[in-house]
Amino acid sequence: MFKNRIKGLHFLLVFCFLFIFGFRLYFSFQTTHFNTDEAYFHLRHITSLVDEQKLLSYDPLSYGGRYVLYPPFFHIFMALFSFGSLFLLKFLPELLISLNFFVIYLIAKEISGNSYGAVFSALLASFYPLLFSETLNNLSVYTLFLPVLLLLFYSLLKLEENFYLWIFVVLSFLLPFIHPSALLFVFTVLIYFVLLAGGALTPTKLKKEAVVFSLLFIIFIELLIYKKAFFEYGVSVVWYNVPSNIISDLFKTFSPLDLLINLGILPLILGSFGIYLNFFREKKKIAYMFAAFAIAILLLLFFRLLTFSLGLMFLGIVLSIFSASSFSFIYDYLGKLRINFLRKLFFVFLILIFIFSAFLPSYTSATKSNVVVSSKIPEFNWLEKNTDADDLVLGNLEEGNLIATLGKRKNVFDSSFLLAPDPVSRINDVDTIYTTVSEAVALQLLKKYDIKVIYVSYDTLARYNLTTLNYVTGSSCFISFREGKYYVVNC
Amino acid sequence: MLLTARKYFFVLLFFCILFLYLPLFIRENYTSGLLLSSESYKSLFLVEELRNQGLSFNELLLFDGLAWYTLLSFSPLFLVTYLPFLFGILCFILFYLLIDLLRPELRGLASSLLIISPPFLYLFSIASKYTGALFFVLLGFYFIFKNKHSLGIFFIFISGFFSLFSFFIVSLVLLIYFYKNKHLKFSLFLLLFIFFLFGSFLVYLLFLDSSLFNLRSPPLFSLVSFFSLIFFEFGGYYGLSFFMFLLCLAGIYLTHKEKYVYLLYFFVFAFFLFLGFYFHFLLPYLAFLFAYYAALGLRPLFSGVWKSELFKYLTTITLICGLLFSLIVFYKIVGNLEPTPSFFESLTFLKNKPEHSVVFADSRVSSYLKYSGKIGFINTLSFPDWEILLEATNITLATSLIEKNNITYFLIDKNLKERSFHNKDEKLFFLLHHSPDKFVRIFNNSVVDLWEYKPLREENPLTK
Repeated sequence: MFKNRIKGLHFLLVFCFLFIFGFRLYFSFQTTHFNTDEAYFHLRHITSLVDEQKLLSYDPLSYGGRYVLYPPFFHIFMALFSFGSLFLLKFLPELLISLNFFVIYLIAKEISGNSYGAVFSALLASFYPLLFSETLNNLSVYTLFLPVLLLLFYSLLKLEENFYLWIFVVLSFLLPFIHPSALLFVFTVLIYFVLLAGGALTPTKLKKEAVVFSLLFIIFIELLIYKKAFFEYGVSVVWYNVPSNIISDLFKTFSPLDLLINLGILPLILGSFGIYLNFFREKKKIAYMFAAFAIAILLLLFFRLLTFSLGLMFLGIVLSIFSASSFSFIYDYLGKLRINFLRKLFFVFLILIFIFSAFLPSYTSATKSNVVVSSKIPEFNWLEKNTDADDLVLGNLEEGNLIATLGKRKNVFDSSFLLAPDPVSRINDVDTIYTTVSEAVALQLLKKYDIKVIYVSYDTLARYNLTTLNYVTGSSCFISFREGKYYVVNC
Repeated sequence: MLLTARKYFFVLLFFCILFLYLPLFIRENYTSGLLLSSESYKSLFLVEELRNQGLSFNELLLFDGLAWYTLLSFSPLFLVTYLPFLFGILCFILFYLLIDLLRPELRGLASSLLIISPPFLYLFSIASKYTGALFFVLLGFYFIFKNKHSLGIFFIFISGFFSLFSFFIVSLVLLIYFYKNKHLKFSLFLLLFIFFLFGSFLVYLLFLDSSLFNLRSPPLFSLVSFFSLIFFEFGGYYGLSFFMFLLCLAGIYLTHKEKYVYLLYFFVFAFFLFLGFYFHFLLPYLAFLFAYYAALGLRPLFSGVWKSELFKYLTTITLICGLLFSLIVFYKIVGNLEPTPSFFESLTFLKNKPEHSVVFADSRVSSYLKYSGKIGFINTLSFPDWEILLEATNITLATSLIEKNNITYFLIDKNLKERSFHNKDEKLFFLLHHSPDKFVRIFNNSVVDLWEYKPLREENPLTK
């Protein structure tokens, strides 16, 4: 009976994993490119590693040439395991984020003690709209960062086992080399210790030693990687030198409606109830750890130190993990009522809600996410074939990396602001170039940056509420190509 | 305990000399021997003033740092470079002796932490009056801890001739120390003296030199600017090493665990760091305390029993790397710190222009302007006018202010351009650029633009 149960559970786990993985792969391979501009930033770095076997510390195409600061591990990992193949570059991130299912299962099982609750929780954590919009068909660093971070938390709680101790040491080394959000681990662990002190629980000596090492190491590596930026911007480096008009979009605080739309109703209700159950009723260290994680996220979001999307993505996972406890609690409670069909009814009810509130919104998010770039790809291929290698091309903020990676041309600006030369002026000047009615003003600015080609995409026209550039009609200084998508500056 | 044997003192002394000499060597080779920081040029300028003009009795009484400038005046160009270096070595020796009195087992560790701390190296690389003040403060404390209180107070009193404010703060600390140790005679003496000093300082500010209030408003406090200033790794040149700060917290916690006393210490340190935000010279003073507590925090690494040798080893390596990181970064940036050769090029150009001309520039560069024989507009006590002119978009208003304040030159450096004009052609910068009949650009390089106010007078046809 027990063996059958184990087999059944394993089968369920493998089935769920394959379903998530297959679902993601299906949408990912609908196109031959990636969904976001950011993916092309990573692609450029990975390609540089594969082709030239060196990290791209100076990017000759971004901002017309500038130094780039980025933790290198994700690029190295992808370059090593993909060999630059587009198929593998699409396959690997989907595999990594799908593997997150198993990590969340392990954590949720530890918290709730219920295997099926844990499976349900892991499913919830794999299907919420924000996760799809951020990571699907995207060379996103979070596909690696998330499983590593969660595994690090898990291994910290199981340090007494030699296997997990080594996992902890290795992951502590890797985490700060993946993404600066590694500092989230630092905050979480500090809050965890405060919570433990308040909850009259004592961490073991080994755990204290492990934490001291990992905190110091993560801080040291972040200081090492970002030392140039720290000296340039001070502590405000946490906002990545993002110009103030963009910072309000990236680092905004959230409303309950944001939570509902981006995470879905199930993780919100079951997760919150799960936190209550674990934190106030059963005092488990692992629950304290993930409660600390939630508090750290909320605090960082509140103080606008974490981007909105990243914060909600993490929050979605924490709430999903705690959902396992709620599932387990309700399931056990219904069992006590001795009305058997109630449990089955609950199960069916939950699956239905899951389909309608998590799976379908995720499906919609997945289908929508493929639209963004596909129409633009031929435009950038044209750019590569019809312009000189040294030409500087102007596009909007979300097209900078596409121009550099697909068009292989220098851009005026892109979304990577850290150490970028004067991004505020560039943003203002680009706005002026697109919106001014004066040809003289436009030409002066085009000359300032030595821009040779202006790319006017549908997105740009919509963003500036234009039908075409105001000064190009009848001007001999601008030659139109591809029905007004490109204007070559000829003065 | 690590590095406690007497022989290590000479090893540490050697490293102290080496570490203090390296900034001089780097500046000599990479910036054609330019001194570090505006403070050094301020010292040079004041020494010249002192030598050329002398000071009245009142000025002598209230001249902050008189002893420092008098010392420098024996050979300004040589001493401005080597006197801080010498004081640095002496301070290191005194610190070693002090720790030897208090906790002999920590003397090696604490002293080695001190010589790799950026604020210590930075302070003793610039010609600042606080280098002398700090030496006498340490000497005073050394005698006080040796129970030679009168001699100790005497040396701390001497430190007041280097910096009044430093003396004021140190006296307050000393007052608490004497009170706590029940030396009421000394407490009373110090209390009276502090009152006298504070009173005379207030009278000076209110009646004799109210202009001090008109200078710049203090920097606006924000957590971002606070952390950026007090930690070296976040860009504060006077700032403390972040890892030493963490070790210091650990040291305080381990030493004062009982009854949450450590919280009081944290509070006191936070208060002094907060003060350090406004009075940067306090940060190198604190570096000495930090080195002591950081050594206490480091001790469990070497003498404590760890459950996992692996974590002990990894933590030790990380800490050593973290501590050395700030040292290496210090040497990496010291060649690029202000004044840079490009900036100094503009000052050399300006030096050839008529003396005592008024220059509109950032308050940061006032000392350099004085050194080049010019008057920084912001020092002419017209801060409101300075702000209005900076924001001016109307040429008539701008010229009236320029003529009212007799401004001849405009020195716009990279920092001011970034901070006040956001690198855009706006406000005063726009007027300078687009009024060729009023302003002539007489100098420019990668960091400085220099304009001269040269209005073209329209000739009256009737007077022809």
